[in-house]
Amino acid sequence: MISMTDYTNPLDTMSNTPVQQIMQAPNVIGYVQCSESGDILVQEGNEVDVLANVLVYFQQVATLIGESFGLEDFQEAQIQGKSLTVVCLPHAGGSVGVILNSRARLNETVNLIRQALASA
Amino acid sequence: MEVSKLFDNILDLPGIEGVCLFGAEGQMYINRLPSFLSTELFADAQRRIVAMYETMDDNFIPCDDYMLKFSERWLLLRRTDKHVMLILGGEKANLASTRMVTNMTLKHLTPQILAQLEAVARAAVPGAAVPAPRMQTQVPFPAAIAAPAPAPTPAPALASVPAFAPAPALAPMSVAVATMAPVAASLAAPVAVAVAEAEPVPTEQVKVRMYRGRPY
Repeated sequence: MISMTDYTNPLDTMSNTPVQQIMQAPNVIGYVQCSESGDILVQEGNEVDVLANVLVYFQQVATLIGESFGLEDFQEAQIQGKSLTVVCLPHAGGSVGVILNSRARLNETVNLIRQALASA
Repeated sequence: MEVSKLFDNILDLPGIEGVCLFGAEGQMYINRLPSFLSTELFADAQRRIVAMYETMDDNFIPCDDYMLKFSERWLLLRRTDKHVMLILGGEKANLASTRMVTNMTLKHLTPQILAQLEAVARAAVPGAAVPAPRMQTQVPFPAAIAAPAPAPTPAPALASVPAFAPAPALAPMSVAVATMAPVAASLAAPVAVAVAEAEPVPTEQVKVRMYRGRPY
């Protein structure tokens, strides 16, 4: 028998947008999504303003750096600072940037972000 | 500990395909990247990497480590005060191990060692162009041979014995050298000199030993 305290309505989870799912992941502090032209489509959380300014440029440069080495199909970037980590993913022709704090488990969080974006 | 061994430790890791260390001002300290990456291509990459660091520092927050993942390989960029280490890895490479080993390498890179590496790299620059033509030596020759060379025309005096026409036999080689000259001029130069030194013998001076009107 399921007690009311343990029960989670599946519809609550289903109704979560991908952005909400990502923002609810442990140690995620910010989310920003930009179009290819650099317009900010979605922005939530802290520290995202400055990331939004450079996200598309960063993805373009990362792609060019890869091309210099003959590498194609840019898939992901992890930018590691002292206090936070940014995960950058190409998505729907634009870019998604997720800011994590230093305690985040990077691989698990990236998988979760990918799943959430795939369901979008 | 010998400096090169620090980089050997990185290359020993399964899946790691190359490593290099360069300064923020463009100076190359050590380059153990795969040989197919030409200097021009790497110069482009270096410029872009420096631009990326500068832009992110100025417009975002200073970050030292960048992991760029592509479909089959990844690039790990690790920056310290004055230099950037670039590691090229494949799918099999373990990122945690790579970070651990590169931490150790970066810790050992003192200013004295960097100066030593830079001196070695500078000394190697004039000779750096030498290995490139060695790789090309295999290329022009088949191309020249594959090119349809004109058949040797027998000398009039020896028309009856076309098999013994040594002087015209040099013609196809000179044609081959001429064909490959534009492709690899520097490479072809010694060959062309060698061919030029072997001056063709006039057909009149060629002595063919005959027996009853036929060569033997």
